[in-house]
Amino acid sequence: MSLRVRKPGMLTTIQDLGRPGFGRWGVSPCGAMDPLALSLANLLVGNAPGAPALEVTALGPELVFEEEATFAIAGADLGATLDGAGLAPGLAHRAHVGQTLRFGTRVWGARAYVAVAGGGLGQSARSFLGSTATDMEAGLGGLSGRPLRAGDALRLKPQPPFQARAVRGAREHGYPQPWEEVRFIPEASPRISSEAQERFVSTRFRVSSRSNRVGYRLEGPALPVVPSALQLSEPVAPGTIQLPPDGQPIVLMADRQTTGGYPRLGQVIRADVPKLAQRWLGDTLSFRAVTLDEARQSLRELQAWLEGAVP
Amino acid sequence: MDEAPHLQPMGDSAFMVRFGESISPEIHARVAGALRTLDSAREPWVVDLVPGYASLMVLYDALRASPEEVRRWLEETLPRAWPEPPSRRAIEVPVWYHPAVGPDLEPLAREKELTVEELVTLHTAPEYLVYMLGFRPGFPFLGGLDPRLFSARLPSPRVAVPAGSVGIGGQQTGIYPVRSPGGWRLIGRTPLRLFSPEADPPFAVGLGDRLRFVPISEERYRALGGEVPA
Repeated sequence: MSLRVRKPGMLTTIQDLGRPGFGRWGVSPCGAMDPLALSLANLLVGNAPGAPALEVTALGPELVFEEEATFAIAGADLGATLDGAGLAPGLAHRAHVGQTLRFGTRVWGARAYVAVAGGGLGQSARSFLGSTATDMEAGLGGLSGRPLRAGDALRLKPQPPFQARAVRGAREHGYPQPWEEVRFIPEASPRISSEAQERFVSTRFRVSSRSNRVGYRLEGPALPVVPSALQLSEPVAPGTIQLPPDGQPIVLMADRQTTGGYPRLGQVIRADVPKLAQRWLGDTLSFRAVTLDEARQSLRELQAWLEGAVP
Repeated sequence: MDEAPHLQPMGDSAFMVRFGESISPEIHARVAGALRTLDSAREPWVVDLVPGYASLMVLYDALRASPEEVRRWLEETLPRAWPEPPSRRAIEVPVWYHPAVGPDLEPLAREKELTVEELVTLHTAPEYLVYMLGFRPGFPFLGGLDPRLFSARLPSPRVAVPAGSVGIGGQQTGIYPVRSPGGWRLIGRTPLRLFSPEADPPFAVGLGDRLRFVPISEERYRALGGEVPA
């Protein structure tokens, strides 16, 4: 028995915390775009934080429970209902046999995570290098490296007795809300002019419709670029902000390639990667330069919040 | 003694170690040596070590190590690294050079004022070095291309380049291990599988391997399991 996919939604994939550590082989890490929300959904059903779950993008799927199961939704509020009854994100729910989980109108955010108790949704997924994260670019992990399709059945593990868990505190939607400002640490480069740096932090960008899990393309007035004859490919990190020749920055996300040749403006701080992952196409964004100390402090605070989020 | 590598913090989760700004076997040997030494002295907070042509990225878990701690580790460990001699592994890559599987073969030969045979001879002459893998799992970036074959990338990348395609991009040549988009000029195809996710290890070619292309006939290509487009 399983969780049956009646409609796949815009883009629903199996993700965990990815497969970092194989960059020297050209293997992208992939994994949840918003690892904080994935971990939260898992904690709500008693799983390990990095257990495989569904990443639901903007327009969600329709899923039928063919057996009784405990599940939770965290991250974006995509208007989820169970047999028509509204579901608050940030709570564990019990679904009975035959009940349908649907997603409706997007309220805020871009990516919601659906975790199911019993150790996660990785039963039907193919593991590669220790992770079941779906790598759509290379066709690895998940369901043969592809998004969910109508008719797919995700096998569930034996379900433990229901425990009513909820995110502690009164935070709306049980998740730190994304806001417009993304913090980053600038990187000095002879290939980035000071004018480009100044304009980068004073511009409000829009998330381009050509953004995806590989990267967020930012639309705004083009930043000046320094022509360069030889651009050696170099490794890239999560949140690397590249400036390609068209002057429109790209922030690299979970499915990024392991190397890239464009000049870099800097790196989005790790604490703000989840926030960025929750910005949707057409949303606006601005960037603020911060110090390493502020980045570290924010990451520790976020981790402390996550660890205390589910009693 | 070589100049100490330059350490540059990349945000709050990585350092870039830079050894130079060019593609050369000497710099590659330093990158590979640093990779080996850092691997052997690996700390639990190291998330990934990713080599480039002349650089090495050290990704770390910022919840478990401070940038000062990572810098100290790098400053203590890197001086113990010696340039890594080239791999003893020399890999022969059979390639069918033909317009059926290398759509840019003839246009590129015309552009370079070479015959197809001359182009193939130039491409198969050198022993290439695997400087890095990137782009897709197991995609080798090869250095050592004859400058007469340096060529610009396509103005707009192909949507789908078949696995096994051999291409030239700028000063580099390489092999597409999986079907993917691609902007390099395609001159042939190998039946060799560079990446097999079920195998252990899944990758046929590694950093520092030496690689030689060997021209084969269509018959041989088919016999080795190569697919021919209809």
